[in-house]
Amino acid sequence: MSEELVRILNSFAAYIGLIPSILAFFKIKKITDKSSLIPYLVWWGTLIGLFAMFIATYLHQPNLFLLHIYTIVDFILLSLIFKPVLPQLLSRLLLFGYPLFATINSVFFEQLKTENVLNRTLSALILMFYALSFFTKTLREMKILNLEKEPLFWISIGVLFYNAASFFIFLFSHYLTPIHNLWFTYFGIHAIFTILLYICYTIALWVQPKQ
Amino acid sequence: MGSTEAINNLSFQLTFGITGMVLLVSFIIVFFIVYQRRLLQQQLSSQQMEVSYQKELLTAGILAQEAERKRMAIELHDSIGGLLSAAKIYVSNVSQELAAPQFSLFKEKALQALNENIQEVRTITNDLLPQSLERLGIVSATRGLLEKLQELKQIKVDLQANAEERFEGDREKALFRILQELVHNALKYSEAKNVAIHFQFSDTQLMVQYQDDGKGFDRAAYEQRPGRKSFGLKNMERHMAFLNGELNYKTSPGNGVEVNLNLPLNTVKQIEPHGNTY
Repeated sequence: MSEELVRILNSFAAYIGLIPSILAFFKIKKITDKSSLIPYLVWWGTLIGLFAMFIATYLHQPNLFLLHIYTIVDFILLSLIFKPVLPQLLSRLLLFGYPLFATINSVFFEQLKTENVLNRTLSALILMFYALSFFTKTLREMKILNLEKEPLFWISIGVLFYNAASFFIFLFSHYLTPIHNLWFTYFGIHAIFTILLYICYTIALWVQPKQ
Repeated sequence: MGSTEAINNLSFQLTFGITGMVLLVSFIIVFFIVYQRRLLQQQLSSQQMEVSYQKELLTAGILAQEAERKRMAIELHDSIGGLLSAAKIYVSNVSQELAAPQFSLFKEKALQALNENIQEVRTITNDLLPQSLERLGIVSATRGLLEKLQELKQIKVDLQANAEERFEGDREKALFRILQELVHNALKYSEAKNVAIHFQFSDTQLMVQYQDDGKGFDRAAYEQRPGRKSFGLKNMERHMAFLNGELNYKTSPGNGVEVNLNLPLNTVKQIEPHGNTY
């Protein structure tokens, strides 16, 4: 994958968040309780993405500290969105446990100026577990008649694909960083799945379940 | 990690890992969608079956009501109507000009017709709802039913009950209708020599077993008959649905009929006779 293509993909991945973010402004009043946090999720992701790009492109400063904050807040928002599909105790444990662990890890171990490998890898695993929990709960209860009209279905698809693809990239990111070509290739793959994630978020905002 | 081999190795591991994970996730999603659709179809078809079963029960209820009305109309027309007409003729012939012996004869005939009428009304009302059911309960009413069967067809009957408990009037009537239907079938179609009904009361449930040694029938063929679509059975199932109990019907050609009824009893107690709301 050429550097130019990766740069285009990466820029596109940063800006694509604007589509669901703008849509969220129009949809926020019509959104049901179940998906009420989706606008905040896309606003947060887009804001951090653009801010990170601004810091790197215009200020020429390291922006990795944003990744640490983004990972924790993104995890909290997704945990709240997936809360109805999880057992109450487990949901609370993960909702409070992971941010605490990630904060301690970022501050004392992995450092804010480096990549948060452990936090992102762990977060990817837990988020994939959330999406699979939604699938199993849906099959167990059989209350959803039209999957394509269910926002959480699209969120789950996006979360599953993005985290499945990114899991190994997060896991090996320490080894990838010094190898320029490899880093760019997998950075490009990550950008493709980020675009896919935001497409799924956009669909989740667009569709509304039948009342 | 600087050597080409190590880089290739890392690249291979990453490509393999990412491709594997994405394929696995794709498989899970496709499986989920297909399986969910299949489950939905199953759910829909079982709902449709339930609706059609309910419709059949409703139809059986309406048909049972109609058949009962028809039977009552025939009974009233043939017996009460005829007897009352006879009484009317005798009474209209009675006049003061008649000779004493003839006057006494007509009077006697009119009284006889009226007495027969009264007896006939008792028989009909007893058929509709035995007094013994209201006053003494299901076991006594069933005893009356079997005695009548014995009188009409010389069938040997056996009634056993470990107790004579009472329960809600409406439920007693529903159970009686089921037993009435079974006895009616034994009388009309089964050519049975022996009929047995056993009641087994416990604190929470009542088990009733009906058995006859009649000719039995092929249930599957019976249910598929065009026109009269297992009317009696559906009617019994309708009553059983009201009783919230279970009905198991065992029969085959030449092997008689065995029916086991199992119904929950929430309020097993002595209940004063009350009005008919069922």
